[in-house]
Amino acid sequence: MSDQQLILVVDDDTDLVEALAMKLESEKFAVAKAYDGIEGFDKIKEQRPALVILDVMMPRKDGYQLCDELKNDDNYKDIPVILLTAVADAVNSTNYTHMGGKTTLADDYVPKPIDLDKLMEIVRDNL
Amino acid sequence: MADDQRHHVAESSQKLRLGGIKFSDAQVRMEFSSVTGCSGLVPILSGFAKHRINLHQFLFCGDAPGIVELHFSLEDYRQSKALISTSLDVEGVQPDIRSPVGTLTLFPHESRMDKLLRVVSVARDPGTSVHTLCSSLSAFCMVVDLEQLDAAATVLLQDFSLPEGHSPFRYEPSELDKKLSGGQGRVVETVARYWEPVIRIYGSNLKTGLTKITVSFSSDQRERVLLLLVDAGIERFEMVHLRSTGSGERFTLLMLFDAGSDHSGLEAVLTGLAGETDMECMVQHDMEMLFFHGPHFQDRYGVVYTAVSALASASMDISCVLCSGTGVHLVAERGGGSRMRAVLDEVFVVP
Repeated sequence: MSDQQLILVVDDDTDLVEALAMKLESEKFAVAKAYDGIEGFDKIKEQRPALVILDVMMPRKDGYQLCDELKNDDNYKDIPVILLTAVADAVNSTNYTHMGGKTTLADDYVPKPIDLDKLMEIVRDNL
Repeated sequence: MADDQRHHVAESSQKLRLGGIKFSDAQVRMEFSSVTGCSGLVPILSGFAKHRINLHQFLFCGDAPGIVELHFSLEDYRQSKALISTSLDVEGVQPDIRSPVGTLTLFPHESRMDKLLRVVSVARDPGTSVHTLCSSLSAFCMVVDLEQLDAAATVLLQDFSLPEGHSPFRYEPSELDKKLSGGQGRVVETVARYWEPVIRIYGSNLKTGLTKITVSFSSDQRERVLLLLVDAGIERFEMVHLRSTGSGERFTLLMLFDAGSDHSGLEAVLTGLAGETDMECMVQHDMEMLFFHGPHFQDRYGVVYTAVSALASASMDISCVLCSGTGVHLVAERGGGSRMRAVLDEVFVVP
């Protein structure tokens, strides 16, 4: 059995999911992928990842909603969640502000785009 | 490759796994020839950026004759056509327009030729006209007539399986999405039509020593050409763009891959193809590809303009540009990759 820690990446940007997966795999993590919040929660229940990297703005169920559900569920509240969101400071019409991100129950919050090496540090810090 | 292996690649009954399929909204595909090189496109791309029109996909291929392919939203049709016509009238060029079309995105491809072969087989279906098929970092983006999206997905699912609970093909807004956008959905970050003076990216990746081929063939030869490449030892690719020409009777394949140090098998295949009637074939070795991607590049205006205008200002020769998914692929001859990266470091930054 593999002793690699499983990281779940949940984002509707498939290119970013793939780039993150490649980086995480090169750092010896196992990776699961999901492309919206509902699929993400299903994967969490099935595979119980060691950590979740979660996009904010996604179809069907957004990252805030999924994060809140996880953190209010005794079964999953211990799984670290790193929340990613896009360049909110460049978008005037959004309520998904950096402050909004910080008010969630996520364990860490990272604005996109982020240097992938820096993200790997944050992942390790939260495991 | 032995015949039985070859047969397996082409006809295996075992379904290949996908992570998902997505459908785009209505788009327009426009194609025209270009004799002015990539730098000659700067006025057109500037017009698109100035009018905040997003290009969902973009191709420039500098092989003679140069080809430009643009994809934009149907709602931007009138303005886009006016912008392009103004430039093309000077050159006496008529664009080929297909509308309305839709993009079916399937992921991940894992850069595998066997997945490409299975996807290309969808074009055998008489009810599906594939106008363009190209790769992004993660996905194949297949452009078909808008009304054929569901039929194309049905044909694909004969060869591919999706995970249980996969995302729906069409976008469904979240509760928060609906609240923020007044029920319209997808108007906040995911269609982020914003401009950054210096565009932030996740990083760039330079690949060297690649082989670039351009093969033009009749539509019934699609799978055979790909199988011959597999025969020549090509199992993975770096970039793929396949487009139909005319009324779909012919296709042109542009592909970048690492052919390894021994090109003899590949050369034999390409020489054989070039000797056939109805085939045109070009090969270039020692090519370089610079790839970068950023948040919502597929939904933002001005990204390709920024890249192309910066490279044109630096008098860089670009062999090929492909924008697909959220990524930009730039192809140049030996030494060009690092020079492009130096130029683009001024206009794209990793925070």
